[in-house]
Amino acid sequence: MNESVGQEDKIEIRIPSRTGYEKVAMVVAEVIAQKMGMPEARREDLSTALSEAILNAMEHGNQMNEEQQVVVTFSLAADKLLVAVSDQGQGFHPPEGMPNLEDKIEGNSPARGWGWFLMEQLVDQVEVVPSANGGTSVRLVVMLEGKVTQTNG
Amino acid sequence: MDKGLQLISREEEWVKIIELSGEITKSDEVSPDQILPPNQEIKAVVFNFSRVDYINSAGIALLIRVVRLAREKPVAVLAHGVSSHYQKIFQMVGLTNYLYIYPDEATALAAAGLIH
Repeated sequence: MNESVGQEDKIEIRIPSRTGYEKVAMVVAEVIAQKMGMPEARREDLSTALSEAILNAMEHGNQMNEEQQVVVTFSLAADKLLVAVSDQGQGFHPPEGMPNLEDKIEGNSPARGWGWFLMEQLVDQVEVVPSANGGTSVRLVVMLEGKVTQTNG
Repeated sequence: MDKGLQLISREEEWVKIIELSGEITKSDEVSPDQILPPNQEIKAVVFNFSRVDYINSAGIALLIRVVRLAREKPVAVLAHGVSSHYQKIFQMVGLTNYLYIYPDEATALAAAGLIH
């Protein structure tokens, strides 16, 4: 880990449930991940997974109620970064199985519904736990030496 | 906070070329009919993603709706300027089976049957 990053540091930000504000958390994640020495491809994966977790919390957890916040907590450890995304709403059940693109293209199922799948693909671990304030927390774990998803570039 | 999505399009023979810029973050920001109008006789559409800096899952849904309409017509869907990160995302989702990615516009146009 980079020397400027404490091994037990916690950083928390609170954002209203309004689309677009997820980018604030993405910028914070980028700065933290860079300081932890994550390579660019991994930082981009984290950024996309985090944006999906936050949009999920805004839409499904907080029902887009702008008075309800999404709390994003970054917990830094020597070997990993844990990001908890908590809503203040009614809870959220992750979908099971991979979305079927052919079904979506044929119009047999809605074109949306990729968020959870992308989170699962892009970080080392993702889980849903009840949050302290009655809502739901999605916990994303990125290991510093973890998987690096394949790129074409 | 939202930059929104801007489209500038031109046509070369049977190919429609669309420069995208901004963010693709809403599944209904643009109607697929705006991209592929019913009265426009084209055989391929080429998207330039080089000025797109953020795509989320709702944006992927918009691309799926465009692919759906293109398949009905039928119109081939090609793209260039896609960053390595979003190429990876498109591949994960399976979109690269329907939206073909090329390194630049010339290659995409050649693939669409236009040789320059």
